[in-house]
Amino acid sequence: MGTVPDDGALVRAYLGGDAEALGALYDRHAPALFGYLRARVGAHEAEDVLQDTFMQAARDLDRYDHRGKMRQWLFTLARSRALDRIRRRGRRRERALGDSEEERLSHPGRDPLQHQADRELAGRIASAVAVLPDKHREVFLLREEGGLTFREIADTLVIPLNTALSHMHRATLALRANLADLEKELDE
Amino acid sequence: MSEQPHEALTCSQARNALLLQESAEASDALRSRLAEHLSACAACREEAQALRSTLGTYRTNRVPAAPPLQVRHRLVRESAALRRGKILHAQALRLGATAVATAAAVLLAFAVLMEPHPQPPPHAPDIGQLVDRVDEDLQAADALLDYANGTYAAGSETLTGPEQAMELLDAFASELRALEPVTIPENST
Repeated sequence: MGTVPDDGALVRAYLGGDAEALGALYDRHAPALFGYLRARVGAHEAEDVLQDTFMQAARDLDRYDHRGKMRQWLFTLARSRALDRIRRRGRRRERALGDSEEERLSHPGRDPLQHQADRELAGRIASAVAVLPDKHREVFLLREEGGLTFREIADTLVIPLNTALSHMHRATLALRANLADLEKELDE
Repeated sequence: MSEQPHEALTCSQARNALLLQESAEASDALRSRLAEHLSACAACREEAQALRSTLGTYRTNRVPAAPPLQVRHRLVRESAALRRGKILHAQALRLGATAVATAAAVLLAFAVLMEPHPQPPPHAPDIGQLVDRVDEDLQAADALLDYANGTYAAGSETLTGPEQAMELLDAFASELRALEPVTIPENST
């Protein structure tokens, strides 16, 4: 069985002319990035930001330091683009789930009532995250959607590790309060 | 294994340690100190349980992120065009460098052969050597031109690769910059 090429090998393959290697990097990192972006700017804009992020990465890959961490670098690019979008649309409230998310939530072949229940549940979870204070939510999403370690989060946000941990702690406390009813329902 | 005594964690440190343990970033030593703290602190045990429960609820019920396939297709297509553009750009730059080097070599040869001076300077270069060097540089420039045009064959006598060609041209440019005005003795042909 062949070994799975690491990020560095994929970057070298891409720079050598193999465009599909960039597709492989997308397959590896896009789910985490998309999960994060969807919660930050809504599903519809997340697609645009995701594409912008990877196109920027494609342009800059020949300057990318192969010893660095690809996912962390991509998150830095994605965050910057997401923040631009958020700034551009002013103080308008960020959407937790966009319109096109409706489609993504549908699972053909499953019980329609179950669909409805799943959708409501996911909506309540997303709303509970959306109302977290910005700094706490950022750390929470980078950890839970992006899968970054706390050290990587601290580096990405340029904050001390203890601050990242403190934001996460506060996020989980607030989320616990926001989800208390839901957890009770789920337990019953 | 060293059995160094360690300080017990405070509740605040234990909270951080819980998160680091959850993200698999806690060292063995920290995990062991956390376990020690939890065995003695009911409030932190409760906190640990609540943390697991909240994160469990979130992870179980969040919508899985499915990045759109059309973005992937567009990305592969557009990045292929981007790479082609970059390669063409680099080739154009090399071609330009070749043209400049060739022109410089021709001009130098012309200047060396034609410039009349009655007296040689104290350290005049050997004309034969200079002409040989120009000839070598012209060969290097030709080979580089072949490379840029895609007709360069690896292992040619002149070059072993584009990097060597660029090195030759750089060296040649340095020589040009360092050249003193050349004086040719009247009796030399």
